[in-house]
Amino acid sequence: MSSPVEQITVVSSDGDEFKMTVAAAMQSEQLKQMLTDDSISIVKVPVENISTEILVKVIEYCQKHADHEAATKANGGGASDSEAEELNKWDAEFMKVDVEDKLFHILMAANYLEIKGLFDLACQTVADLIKGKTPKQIRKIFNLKNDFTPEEQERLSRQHNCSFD
Amino acid sequence: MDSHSSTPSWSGLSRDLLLDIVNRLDSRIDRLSVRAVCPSWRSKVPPPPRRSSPPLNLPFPVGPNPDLNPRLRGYFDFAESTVYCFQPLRKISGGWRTPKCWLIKIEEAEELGTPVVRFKDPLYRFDYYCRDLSPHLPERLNLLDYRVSEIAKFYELRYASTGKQSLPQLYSEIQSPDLKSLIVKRVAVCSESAHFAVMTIHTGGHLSIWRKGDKKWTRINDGRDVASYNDVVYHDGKFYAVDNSGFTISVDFSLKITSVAPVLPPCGYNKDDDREKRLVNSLGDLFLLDKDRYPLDVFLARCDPDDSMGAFPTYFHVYKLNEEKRQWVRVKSLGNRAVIVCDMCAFSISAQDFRGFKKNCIYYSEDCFCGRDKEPGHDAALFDMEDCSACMLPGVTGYSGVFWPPPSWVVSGNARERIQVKEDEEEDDGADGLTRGNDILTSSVLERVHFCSRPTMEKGSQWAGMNECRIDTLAIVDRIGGVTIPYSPKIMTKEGKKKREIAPEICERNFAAAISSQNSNG
Repeated sequence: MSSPVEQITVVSSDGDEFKMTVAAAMQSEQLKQMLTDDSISIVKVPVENISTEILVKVIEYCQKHADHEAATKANGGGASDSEAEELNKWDAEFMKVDVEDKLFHILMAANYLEIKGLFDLACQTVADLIKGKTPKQIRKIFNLKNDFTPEEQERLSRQHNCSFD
Repeated sequence: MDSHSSTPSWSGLSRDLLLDIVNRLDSRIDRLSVRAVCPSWRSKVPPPPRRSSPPLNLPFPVGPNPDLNPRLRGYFDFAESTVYCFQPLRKISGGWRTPKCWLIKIEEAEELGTPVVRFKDPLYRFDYYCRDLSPHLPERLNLLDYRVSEIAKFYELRYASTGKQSLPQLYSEIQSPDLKSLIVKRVAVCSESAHFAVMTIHTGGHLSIWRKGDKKWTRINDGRDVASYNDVVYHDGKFYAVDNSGFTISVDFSLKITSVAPVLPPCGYNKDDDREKRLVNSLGDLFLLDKDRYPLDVFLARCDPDDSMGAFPTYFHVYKLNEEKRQWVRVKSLGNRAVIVCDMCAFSISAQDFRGFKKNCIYYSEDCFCGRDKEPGHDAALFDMEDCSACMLPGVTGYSGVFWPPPSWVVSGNARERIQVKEDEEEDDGADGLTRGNDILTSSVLERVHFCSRPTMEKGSQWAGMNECRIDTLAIVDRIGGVTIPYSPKIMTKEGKKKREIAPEICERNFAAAISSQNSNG
């Protein structure tokens, strides 16, 4: 059995190295698998798909949530309402990132590293951006092109009229 | 493989990820909007189910009724209505007198196996029928010219006959003991994925529940002999029901009954029997509306003699449920919300988000008028919580147009965004999004939704008293004479315009022929 590690090092796709506490790393199912697998002795974990910028954010999230979990355990059980609310507020602030670039990559990173909390948070953020918006507004937010073919547009446009007799 | 240097492509989102996001959208409209963004997303996101609840036939009658005509056999068709609010896509001038939203109720039902879609005014007790209303309605309602929000969902049970005994055509001829079983006053539905259940008030105030898979309704036995429940809603995972004294219970899925609030202390003017209680969900809280009336002397004292036109002696007592304290707590203000309550539905809406509603008010319909010849909204009224006074809605400038008549921007299509077709600029909005509207309407068989120019009734299925416009109508009934005119399906062409040209003539001719044949038959 390998000696217990206190920290692991993750390497971004840009080659930068970051240290993560084990507790923080355990937020990611992927990293957790590696850590609990005794046959692997970990020195550095390359995360190829994640850039430095995003990795920094992800680690920040993991650390915060690991700290919160530890504090909750220390208090012997469930988090108080105010603590939970504080965490939610922190999450909300954390997710105030530009949609086009960071949000997308955070979502991808959370998916890849299997960080459930961050994944849910990112998905919900995207869903909240979509709620109540017209298709055109959604396209604007996510920088998407309206690439329906003219035939599709013509056919469907005729179909969505309601006429009052 | 450095994906960071490449531009993130939301359109390239994998199906699983996109679905993970889309499944967090509650409203069907939002889902349809996503499907209308680009072909890539459209192919990955399946259309929402036509109705959030499955088409159902529920057993009839709900509760035992010893006086019920035993030859009345049938079932209940389950109809779902959604209240939508239309808002213009771009800024509309016209000042505060022009409401910036239009509320409309779209009902989807299956009758005799055929899907049916109807448009209704949320407050008007009857459906729109448009012989005289056409100048007020736009020729075409292109759902994509507006921002459409889903506000609330409601349900109804409609009797459909399977036996040989069909109902008399005229409402007044139906025997009143039968009516007790035929009319199901309030319907609350729990349509979560794990459970599906319908709870109703029927046969004079009894409460019964039907859960998916049940063969029969189960009466909710609260231990009392006499039941006089007024309203039932689904709230916070349970059904809540209030009776005419204010006594409230909650019923969960395992039929465990919990007393939630005791009888209300007496207040106001009329006896409990003359007052109707309604339950409304608003922002996660449960409210109780108790409709009372000022006695004449009090009413006259309150009225400003110069301004009493259209004033009503209605008075709502409003309570909010405090579950911890197990009681209804009186509230004097609804804050920024407006509450809309009528026979078929009760919901609340934010007056801030939907400009055109007066905040801290209750929109309701007065029961006093029953003339169907009148325009929609003639019996709509507004109770202002600020000064506890009620008056007819059409008299309230700037606030009545959220229901009827439709605001000018709906009729003229001014809400549409400017159309500019330049090569490198964004495409025409009219053709944009497309499928969102189509998807709403795919629950109907026809591609187009029409308001029928005459009220219709399908013989044997609907009972008289409900003049309804069916879009796939096969029969037209003159509402005065009760005559049925077969309506040739050949006339229903895909070109709505053609239909309009052909239909009225044929209608008139057939109508005349049918009238004369009926007259000759005596």
